[in-house]
Amino acid sequence: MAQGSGVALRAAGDALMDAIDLALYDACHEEGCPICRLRLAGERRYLLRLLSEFVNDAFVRERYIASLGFCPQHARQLQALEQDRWGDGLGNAILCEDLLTRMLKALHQHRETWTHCSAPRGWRPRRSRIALPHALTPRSLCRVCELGETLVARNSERLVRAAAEAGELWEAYADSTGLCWDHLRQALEYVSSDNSLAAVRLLDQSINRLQALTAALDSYVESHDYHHQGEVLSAEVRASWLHAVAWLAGEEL
Amino acid sequence: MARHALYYTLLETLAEPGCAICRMGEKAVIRFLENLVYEGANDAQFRAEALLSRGFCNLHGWQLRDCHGSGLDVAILSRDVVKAWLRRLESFAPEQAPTRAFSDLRAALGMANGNAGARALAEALAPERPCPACKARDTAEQAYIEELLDHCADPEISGGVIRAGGLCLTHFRKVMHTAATAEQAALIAQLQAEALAPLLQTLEDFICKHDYRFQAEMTATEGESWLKALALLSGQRGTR
Repeated sequence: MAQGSGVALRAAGDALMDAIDLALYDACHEEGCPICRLRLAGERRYLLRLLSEFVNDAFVRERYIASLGFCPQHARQLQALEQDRWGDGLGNAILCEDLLTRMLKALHQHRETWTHCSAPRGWRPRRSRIALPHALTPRSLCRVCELGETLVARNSERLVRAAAEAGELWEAYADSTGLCWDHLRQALEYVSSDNSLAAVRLLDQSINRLQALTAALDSYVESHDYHHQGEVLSAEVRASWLHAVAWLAGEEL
Repeated sequence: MARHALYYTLLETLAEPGCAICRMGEKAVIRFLENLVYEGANDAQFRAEALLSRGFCNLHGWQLRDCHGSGLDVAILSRDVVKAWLRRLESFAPEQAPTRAFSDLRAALGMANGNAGARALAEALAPERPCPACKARDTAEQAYIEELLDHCADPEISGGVIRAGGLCLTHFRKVMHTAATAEQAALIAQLQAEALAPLLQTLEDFICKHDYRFQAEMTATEGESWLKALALLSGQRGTR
């Protein structure tokens, strides 16, 4: 099977793989944690669709307002996407304008309330008792984060199932970079009580990768000793510290 | 109210556009990461802390990569964490499959059917401390929030907040939570409203001028208003 040939696999009539498995299969052939890759791709797809079609959709807008916009990372991603693709910021501006108008209105309304509720003279509490207005309090999570979490959960579950079945998807995963720290933890949560073998397979794959990474990191650290200066490092050793960051912190957003 | 170094740093930062607390947090992170690259990787206490936090969060992990000459430090810190992780994985003992009756009983009692061994390992791998760079940022931000509240009636500070374009939403909410009196809260809300109003106006103009009839009238301030609005809602780039 050629690398990254998920579509070919489906065409070959492998009934065991559905669209989710195929996406996972393809992600296993890319560099880095496949669950991170699929999460990033799914979030990017959502943001692109939002900018293309849904900026003026009432339901999407209400959800955006409820979470007081997106989290900082996804807000920046939305901005960069619109700037890169359309060289403009109209979609972002429309969303921000709606939210800011509501916030400004809330500030004006509640300023009056706060002005008239003074504390007794000489009394200075350590913490505020001032309740923030509804419009300034997020009522739900960032929609894109929520979607990302759903994707992670779904793909982790599939990966655990693939580990138990040990089929073609598992073979692709076994040859991949493996899961990052956080996604390995999440995948372990999906191992059922009668399926210890899946956990063992997942961990064996991680152990092999981590042993290789630690050896490469050791060589990288040693190469900074003056005794070893001038020695030519392999590509794997040179990039080991970057792989370690990706492993510990997840793929770069 | 006495004016100390924090006051003057805050005043200086308010001369720049954008949320001043974001900027102070950003500076604290840069200082923290630079110190780390300079000497931190061999500091036993810091290494112990990095081990507990399992390294850095995604944002600061990759930000550290961009610090000049950070490869060796990242390698030393990561090696500690990866080795500790590896030891945990190697000593993993999965829970043996329970009997069918026991599984059915667990399901009937509404208990999760997860593998206890795998779950215990997942929990053991969870960070025990927050990312050290996030901690440095939060400490600095809190200090400046308190300084801002102490001096919010000072005309130089209040004028600075308005000229800078107000606080981002995250920090505005933190300031309101920290405010000790209703007067402070009312004043901060007023400053924020005064800072928001002109931005909202230029944002509306930016949207209107996407109409083909007014396209030629777009000014530079209007053109960048959406970026300012985003920074206001989500904080300065690279801070969270």
